[in-house]
Amino acid sequence: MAKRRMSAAQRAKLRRRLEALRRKHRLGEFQTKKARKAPKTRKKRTMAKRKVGRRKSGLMSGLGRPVVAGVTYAFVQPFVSQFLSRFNIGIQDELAQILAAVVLKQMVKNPIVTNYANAAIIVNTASLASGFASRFTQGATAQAPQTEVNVIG
Amino acid sequence: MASAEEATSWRLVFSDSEENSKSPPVAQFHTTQTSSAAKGYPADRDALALPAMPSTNLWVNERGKIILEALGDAADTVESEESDGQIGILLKHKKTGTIIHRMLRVGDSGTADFADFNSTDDIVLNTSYYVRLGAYTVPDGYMATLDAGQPVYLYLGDDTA
Repeated sequence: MAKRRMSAAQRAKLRRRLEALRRKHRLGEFQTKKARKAPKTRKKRTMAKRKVGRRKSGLMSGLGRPVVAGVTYAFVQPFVSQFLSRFNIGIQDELAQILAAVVLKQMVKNPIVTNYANAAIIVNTASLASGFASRFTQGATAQAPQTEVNVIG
Repeated sequence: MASAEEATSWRLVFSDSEENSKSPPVAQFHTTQTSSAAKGYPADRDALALPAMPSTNLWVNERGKIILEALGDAADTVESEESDGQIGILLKHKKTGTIIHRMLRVGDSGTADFADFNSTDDIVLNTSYYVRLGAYTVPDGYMATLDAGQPVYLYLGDDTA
């Protein structure tokens, strides 16, 4: 079959159509300036970063911290006990001390107060627990008297 | 017979069973604080005005004693049958840790817990040093301390014609 020849009018029409399409899709002579690519950001770390903690020295390092907490507790406890005695709540002294220590720890962000509160919670919880524990050890003498440092007689 | 109040300073001391080893005073009051009869408050409000027992970290062991001592504002005699008082203590059972709240009665009334001041006993006070009125012995198996926060009441009196 012989190739069909396109008329000049048809070619012009096709040319205009192509031009319109190129304009629409921004191709060829209608291509806009290429957008600048955003600078490459740092690669996101997926693994957790290793924390390098500040090493404390002196009294606040290692065993020093519990020792400081214990000494602070020993000095502060009589004053706290005296203060709490004004409130005749009707619960055990040890429980009142634990609650007071928890509240104090939340309210005051101070290392000395935190030390005292931690020691108070530990000591008074142990005192309470010893009372419960002794019920399960029939015949064994409770350790409670030995934890009382100031006993007369 | 009427009872006249004797104004005195008084205190509690812990000791061993033989009263050889004594603690420093664990509580100290004056009868103007603890005796509702001496107060200017209306009678129905007296109990609200009593002082609270302080706290102490001292304990007295079983068979030890809680001693009541008094120092008179004047050289007076106090009589147990004319006196009255309620002193709160805490007893802890040594084996189980059970806590018991106990109210010791001073004088001849009620449980009359202070030996040597519980049976028409007369004690002569002076203004120079504390005189022993009586003592409560801690029962076997218990330790005792002050019941902090409890109201303290003590009235010391003698007979007046």
